[in-house]
Amino acid sequence: MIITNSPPGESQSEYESSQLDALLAEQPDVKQTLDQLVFEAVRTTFADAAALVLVTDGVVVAASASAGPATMAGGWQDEYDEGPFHASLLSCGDQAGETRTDARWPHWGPRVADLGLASLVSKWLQVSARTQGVLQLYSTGAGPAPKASLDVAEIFARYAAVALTAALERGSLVSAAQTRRTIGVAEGILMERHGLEPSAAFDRLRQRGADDHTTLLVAAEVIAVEAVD
Amino acid sequence: MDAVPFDESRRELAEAFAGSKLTVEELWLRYFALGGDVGRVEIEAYLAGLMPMSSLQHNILAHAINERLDELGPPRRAPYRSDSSADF
Repeated sequence: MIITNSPPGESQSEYESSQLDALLAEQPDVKQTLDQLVFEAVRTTFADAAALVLVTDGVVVAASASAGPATMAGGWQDEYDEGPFHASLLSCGDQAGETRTDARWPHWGPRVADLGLASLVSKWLQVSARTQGVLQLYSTGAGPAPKASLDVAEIFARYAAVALTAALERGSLVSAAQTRRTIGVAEGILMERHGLEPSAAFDRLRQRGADDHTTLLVAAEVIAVEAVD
Repeated sequence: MDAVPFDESRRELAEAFAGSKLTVEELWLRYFALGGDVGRVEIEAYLAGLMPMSSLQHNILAHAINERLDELGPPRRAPYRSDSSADF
């Protein structure tokens, strides 16, 4: 961990956590929270490179990596269909090992070792009911990480899961509020133009979506644009 | 639109929700986005048949579920075998 001066009466880890809290609260969306977490993972844990991937219903929804080698290592996991990301996701658990010699990833491992990333710890994160994350921490040093380093990684991973849960909830609420506003505008236009009650305006909007084979939001956006034209 | 008796429409809505693979929290967020005014607890109670809901709120809730079902695509169908397949 980086040594910084904490205020009197506050432990170093408490101080770093509060700093991290403030930093992450400033991130406007999930992607930027991911980027910040990867940056902080390299700053505060043993990792020399890090990557973080979010998966919802088995589909990757967002990803971030600290630098070129971590990005390349992530891409090769898809290419070879092996590596700590897949292993963590399948087992819903953590993975650790050396890249050059681990029998679990015979193709991916040596290529990553050639990049200078000799060992790794992969942390599985439960972010929400349907969303999981995998935090991959790479080290240039071979051999198992010391227990103290693993403890820091564990704490960081728990923190990352909480931060990502908050970011996802925040993002979902902002998106829902924007959709609600757009639909409200469209219903208002329909009520004003056709003298409709709210329930009739909703039915009219729903029918427009069905006719156009679109969602209610898209139907509302079309009505709003047509009203301006 | 054909009128469906209240109890039957509620029961069918609850069945459709079960197939949507959404949590009540996720359903509420989608319903809220579409303009719904009722809270999460009330939705849960309505799905369980414990309290009524206006037609407008029911329809918004139904639409939130239906958009989710559209995202999931058609239900998975059972596969057929060809004659050349091994019998056992």
